[in-house]
Amino acid sequence: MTAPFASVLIANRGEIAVRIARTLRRMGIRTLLAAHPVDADSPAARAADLVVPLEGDDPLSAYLDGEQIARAAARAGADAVHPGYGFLAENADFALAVERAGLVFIGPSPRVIALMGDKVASRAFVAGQGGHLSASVVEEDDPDRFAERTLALGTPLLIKASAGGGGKGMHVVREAGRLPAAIERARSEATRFFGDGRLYAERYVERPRHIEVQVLADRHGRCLHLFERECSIQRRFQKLVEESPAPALPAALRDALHREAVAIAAAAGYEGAGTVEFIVAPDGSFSFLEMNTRLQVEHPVTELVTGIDLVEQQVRIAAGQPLPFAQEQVATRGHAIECRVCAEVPEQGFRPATGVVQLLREPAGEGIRVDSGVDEGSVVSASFDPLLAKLVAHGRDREQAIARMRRALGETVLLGVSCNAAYLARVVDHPAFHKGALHTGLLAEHEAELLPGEEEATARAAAAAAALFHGPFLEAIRAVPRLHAAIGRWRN
Amino acid sequence: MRRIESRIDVRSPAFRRYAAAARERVADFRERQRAARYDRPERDLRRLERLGKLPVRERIEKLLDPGTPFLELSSLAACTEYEGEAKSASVVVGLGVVAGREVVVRADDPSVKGGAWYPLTVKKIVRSLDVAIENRLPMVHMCDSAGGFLPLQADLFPDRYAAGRIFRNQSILSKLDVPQLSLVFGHCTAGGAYIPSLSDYSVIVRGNGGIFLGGPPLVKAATGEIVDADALGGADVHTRVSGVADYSADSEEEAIALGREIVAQWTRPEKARIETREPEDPHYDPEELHGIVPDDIKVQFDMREVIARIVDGSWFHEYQPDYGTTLVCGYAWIWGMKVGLLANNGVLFNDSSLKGAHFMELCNQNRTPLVFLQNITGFMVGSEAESRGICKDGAKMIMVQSCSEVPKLTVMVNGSFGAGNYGMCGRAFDGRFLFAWPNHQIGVMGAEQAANTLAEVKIRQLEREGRTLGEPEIEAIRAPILESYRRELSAYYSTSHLWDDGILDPVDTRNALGIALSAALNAPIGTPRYGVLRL
Amino acid sequence: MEPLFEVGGRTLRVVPILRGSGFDLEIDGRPAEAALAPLAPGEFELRCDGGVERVFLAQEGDRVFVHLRGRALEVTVVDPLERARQQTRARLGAGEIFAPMPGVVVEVLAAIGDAVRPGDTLLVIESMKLQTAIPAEREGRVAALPVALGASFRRGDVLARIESAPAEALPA
Repeated sequence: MTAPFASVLIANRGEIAVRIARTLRRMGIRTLLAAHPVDADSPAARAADLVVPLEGDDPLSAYLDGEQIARAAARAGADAVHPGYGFLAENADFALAVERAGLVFIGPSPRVIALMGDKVASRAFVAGQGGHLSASVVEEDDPDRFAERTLALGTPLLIKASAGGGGKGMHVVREAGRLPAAIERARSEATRFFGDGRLYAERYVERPRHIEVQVLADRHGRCLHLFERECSIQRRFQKLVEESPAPALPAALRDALHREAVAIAAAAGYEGAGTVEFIVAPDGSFSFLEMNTRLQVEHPVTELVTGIDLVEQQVRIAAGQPLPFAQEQVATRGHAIECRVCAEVPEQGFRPATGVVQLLREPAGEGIRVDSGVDEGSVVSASFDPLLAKLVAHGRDREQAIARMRRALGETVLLGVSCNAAYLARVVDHPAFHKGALHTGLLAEHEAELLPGEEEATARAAAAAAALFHGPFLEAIRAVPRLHAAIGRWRN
Repeated sequence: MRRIESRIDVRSPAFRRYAAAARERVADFRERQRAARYDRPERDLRRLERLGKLPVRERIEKLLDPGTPFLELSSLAACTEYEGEAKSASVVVGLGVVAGREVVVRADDPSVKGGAWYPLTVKKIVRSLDVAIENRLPMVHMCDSAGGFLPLQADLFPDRYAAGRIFRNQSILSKLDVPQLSLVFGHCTAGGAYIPSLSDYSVIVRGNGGIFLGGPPLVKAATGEIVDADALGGADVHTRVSGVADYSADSEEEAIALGREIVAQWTRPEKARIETREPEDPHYDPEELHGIVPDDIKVQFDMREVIARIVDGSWFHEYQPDYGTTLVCGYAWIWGMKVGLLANNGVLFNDSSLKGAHFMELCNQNRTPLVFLQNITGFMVGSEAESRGICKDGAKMIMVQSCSEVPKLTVMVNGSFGAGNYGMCGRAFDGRFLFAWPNHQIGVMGAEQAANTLAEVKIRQLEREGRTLGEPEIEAIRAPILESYRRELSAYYSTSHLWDDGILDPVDTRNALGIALSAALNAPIGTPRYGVLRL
Repeated sequence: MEPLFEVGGRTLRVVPILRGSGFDLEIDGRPAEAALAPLAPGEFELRCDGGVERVFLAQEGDRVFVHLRGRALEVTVVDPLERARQQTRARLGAGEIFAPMPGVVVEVLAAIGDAVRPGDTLLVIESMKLQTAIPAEREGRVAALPVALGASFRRGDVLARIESAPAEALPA
């Protein structure tokens, strides 16, 4: 097949830009990368055929400057724009700007982006389709009585931002007395993160599972699913470990989730790759959470169990090509697990870490895939998301996938920026994870075992290694005259 | 070179007796040293703690490079004087390594009478600077003193080698291009203010540090001005306005860390080159040194047994082994450095004096430092010795020794009496370092000999008057002499007056000599030239 | 005085025990019998406290990054002089800047509320016909400037007070 586009501009950075470029290159498509000068020498920049420089003092703002990016893409002669995830990927205005510039936006239409981006609107849509929803209260419907109406749902509750996503701006309320404060905090976060302070509330399911379904829909009306992913291993609503298929999921429930996801996508007129997220309660009931109209961070686990390159499918769909397979032709093989390696310090409340990557050794081997956005010399700053790399392991079954992931994490060496690799290793090693009875509170429940203090023996070994490696320490020793070094610490 | 063959039997009753006595003496020495270093009135220690002052030895430990040796000199200075009040003469002096450089450390001890300078304190400070000058060693001063001990001012101020000599020495040291650093932890008053002022670099601790020619009481008495110590001469005045001090520090730790950084800036000089090889431990156990020297000073022993337990591998190349046998001469290695040893195995005769002179000339020709192991009661007396010219033979030995250009180190192993002290490089002969063992005695002659001599004089005198003395009367003459001599001959009396650079446990001799020798090589070795030898 | 090694929330004293051509390490008063042998760039064999293991090491300034026993640790080597100064800063706390000598304020270059870094000039004083710039000695916010432009002061008077600024919240 000929390349669907001659050239595509990636409007993103880091590991996803590298990953997208890899597929584009394989497809024979000229790869352009919109990059801020701080990323001029990044692995993504080196993976691209051409770097289109972005202007602006603040790197984060530059990557969010849709107008600049659309203009730059057009000027650079790109045929299409791939937005990756985060940044402008779910920004309807950006999709529109790209189209107005005469380019193809690799993703669904601005209308669908806007619909699914608005939590209230999307929930209303799903309700209209007869989908499963949890009871909720939308502030906008009656702002003055929001708190009162919310309490009527009963506790525990979840306060969320309407314009939100990615697990941010969400607050669990277990006692009625704490509701006003939670609303205040949620609103200020929503305004800060999403520029939109509107809230809604729903019942909080205890020990819920977060299960999402990957969908693919072409421009010819074909819409299918590529099975589900379990994303319940989360810390403060941020996904950390994902896997496919979801372990210990009754077949009927699995089928129901798949069917509902496809139905929602089809009804919305979805085009491209998307993910429908559900909350599954311990009793097996489920409800629609949200739909993400872009590639997910955790898409590799689906790719590894289905053998399908999602980025390739996105590009082909955007180029108007029909899906080359039917639902019956896709199947899962084996099990895949992904761990997100992030720049943070678990021992210090998971605060974000910064620094320069001094030394990097990536794991390799049978069934191991590493999607990395950094290499030695990369500067990790506070400007961007702390995700450094994704480690993905595939095995013939869950047990083998876990074993391979454990070894891969053990082989991962990243020095210069604190990261959560050791923490991830303890997660993957934990009996609760092995058992597969996953829920979004699992990490919090076992925090003590997952965050043991550093043992004295390890601290001693680390100090010894550091001392024997540290230039000035060794120089001071070498400076001592031989006689005195031979006599040593003697007093008369 | 051959290994010395030890001939003593370490299991013999005599050896065991000697060793037991020696160990008891060493234990006594260690206890006196401990008391001098650490016994202080509680209230003095608390006062210093309240002021945020570290004990002087902690200051020194922080200054020195970790894992390196420190050779303290004259730790028991002033131990027999001032009713024992001036422990270690209120100042600590030693050879140490800072930022890889060999330095002399001299630190006031404010826990002893506020660090006041007694006459022996001044003598010890002058000596420390002499050591710095003779060996071209950089100096680190830790200043924290209440000033001169005024009741004894006559003995510490006016004389040639009294307080003024400190500042003269500092100037000469600087003239020799050897750097000095002062860390001012407390007050430097009057003359003491010149120590940091004559230092090339100085750090002053804010709050406690003060440098002024006249302290607040004196200023008020002299001009009526009322001003506190900090405003008069504290850190800010001197590091921001006057330039008398170079750096300020807010804590003693900071001052010491800064001091180390300053020393690290000093260029390391080229040392005098002598023969060296890889060091080797003595073949015999140095602990056996305790059993070699008999418990009676009149009983002879073979110095070779001492040498064998001090030098590398017990290797020894003996010079003129069959001639002048009361003086053992030869080459050996100490911590890998080649030295020429002279050691007494009896009184000095004509032949041993000549042998000594000749061997020392060889060592000067060879650029080999000299190490003297003293156990000498003197030169031979009597008509035969005199007519054979013992005086001129002794003179030749003294002449060559005095005019030697190579570094000289002396260890007083047992006795050091009379002119034997001179030939064997006693204090007056500018040896770079002089150490003593706890059993050591030094005097113009031994106590018994002196008592006998004086009794003899009295008996003769009375005989001329026609009287004789009975035993009790003879005893009455002898007893006080024995007593005063015993006091004044002892190693502690000697070290108290700084007639040596410190008493050593015999087992520590090897390390002390190694460190001292290495320090000595910081000064160049000149071309030998001697005065007239009466041939 | 030896540097202190901070790792995993602990501070360890690492002292070299010199022995002729080699040396051992004593960590917090106990010998560690430590040795480090290179295997490949960044990769070493570490012996310590009787164990042998493979470690990875990288260094940046006063931080040594160590990967051992499956995890990465950051060891900060604290220079004694810097530590002494830090301890003084912590002790003095108040962030007051005292006049080193009597004089007059001739220029004021900061305002209350300004964020300042060490070295930023806050004001200029004149004393004995000489002008001196008074810099901030710590990072923080100017909390007070008690002496007005043109006013005189004595030695030791407070010229400025800096408060350490709270950690900024990071962007999403």
